[in-house]
Amino acid sequence: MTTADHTTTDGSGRLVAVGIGPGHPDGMTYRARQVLTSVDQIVGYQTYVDLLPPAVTDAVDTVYATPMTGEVDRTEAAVGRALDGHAVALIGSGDPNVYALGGLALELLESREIAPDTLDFEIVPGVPAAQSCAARLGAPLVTDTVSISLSDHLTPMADIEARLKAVAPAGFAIVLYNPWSSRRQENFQRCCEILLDHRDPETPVGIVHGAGRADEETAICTLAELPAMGERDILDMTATVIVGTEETRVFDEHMLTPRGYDTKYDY
Amino acid sequence: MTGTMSIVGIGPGLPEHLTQAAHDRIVTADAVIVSSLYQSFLESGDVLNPEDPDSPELITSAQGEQTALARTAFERVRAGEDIVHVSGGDPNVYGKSDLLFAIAAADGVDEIDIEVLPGVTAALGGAATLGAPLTSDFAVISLSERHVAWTEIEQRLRAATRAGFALAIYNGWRQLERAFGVIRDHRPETVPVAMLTDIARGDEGRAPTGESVATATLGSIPEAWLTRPTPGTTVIVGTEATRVIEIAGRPRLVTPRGDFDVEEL
Repeated sequence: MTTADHTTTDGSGRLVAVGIGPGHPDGMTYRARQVLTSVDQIVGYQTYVDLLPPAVTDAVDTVYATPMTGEVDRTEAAVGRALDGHAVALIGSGDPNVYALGGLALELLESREIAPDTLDFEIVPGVPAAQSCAARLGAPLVTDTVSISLSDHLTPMADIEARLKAVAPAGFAIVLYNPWSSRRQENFQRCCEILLDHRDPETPVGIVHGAGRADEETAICTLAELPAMGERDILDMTATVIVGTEETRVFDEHMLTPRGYDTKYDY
Repeated sequence: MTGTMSIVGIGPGLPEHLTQAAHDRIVTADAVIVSSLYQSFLESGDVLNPEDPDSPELITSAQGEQTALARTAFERVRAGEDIVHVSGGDPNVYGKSDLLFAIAAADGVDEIDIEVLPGVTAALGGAATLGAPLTSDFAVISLSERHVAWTEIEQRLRAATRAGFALAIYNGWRQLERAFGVIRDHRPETVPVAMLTDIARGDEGRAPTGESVATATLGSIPEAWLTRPTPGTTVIVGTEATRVIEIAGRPRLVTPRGDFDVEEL
């Protein structure tokens, strides 16, 4: 596959992990768009590739899309192509750090023992789901915050539970990624139990599905109502759940977590 | 007809990390309420040009005037104008989105829809320059005691550190030594730590030395980190699993997701 036409000018490769944000073209940064239109190959999960505007996909030679479960294959393909001398963008939604492939790409590169100056590697940050979902809810995260993934694919459920138990009493707003799947409904229910052990049942909770996309859906409920939300379509693997603190209030269908609101402003 | 009220996150620094949506909202506004620092970033990226007659009116925001400015902004939106409030990073991360919703709630303003346009956070802009230190569960904690008492800040630092979260610490230059003391109680001295100053700001931030990235370990924090106060810093603390690896001659930080071995996935 390696031909002179497709390699960078000095023969060395380039690998850029690019966060495309929530998924609509307007949610991408300048830097992301600039990189995507300057590489010759784009590698990504089919769903994210489908979200790219034609102006981007038309500008590259090759778009290599794989199914979701092919995380390692996809990252290996991107690394392999870059080491063959191509300029490759490995794309993902949100940000390359947040439960994404930036780390895996670096670990795979480490195992290849690349000589200095033979590969240009960059990570282009993007708007993560916590931020794009919080924006749809208003101002729920204007406080100290933790992100926790409820997927036990890579982290044992015992660790996830320990983290929930540690932060639930400590006043953080809590962002839950990968909150629900049919395969791990009990993780979600266990999470709700732990949160209810430590927080007021009236604590506001926001759920956002497909932030900024055509199928966007938003719901605000109380912590007491959260377990039953598992039955609703809005809650799936791609939804994001934001659990408020004791300061969080709901006004006009928005969540507000004021940060020292009474002292912050001359109000 | 009523206009629009937007709070727009511009990312960590210069407009390279601005989203298209944020850009479009700013340039088409009737008036933009912005601090002088963020105004300078937007001007250097040619997003704003006060010389241009088509440029939106620029209103400089300053501490102590935020509430009055916000109330005036609601009046102008009622009169049909499109008003944009600019936040650094993302409006939800210690930004001012809470102010507008709080005023709307206090004044019973329900006829104006406040829209938040998200941005790239300082934590993730900084993490990107290091590699992948925040791929695990992570906590974002501000050390500012202006609104939160130290006892509460310390409780959060302890909870997050004990439970294995990577940490992104904001407003970290006054109480940093104290915070490292708390973190060291629960995390080995070999854990990688990074100090990020004016990321994505080049020479246009507030640090006299310009944009910089420095790494150390929890057990060997350089004295200069603790004695040279610089606003615009974010500190990232890895977990026990975080490693420094060298890729093509440059060190990178990686926090693997979970306890898996790449070879076995």
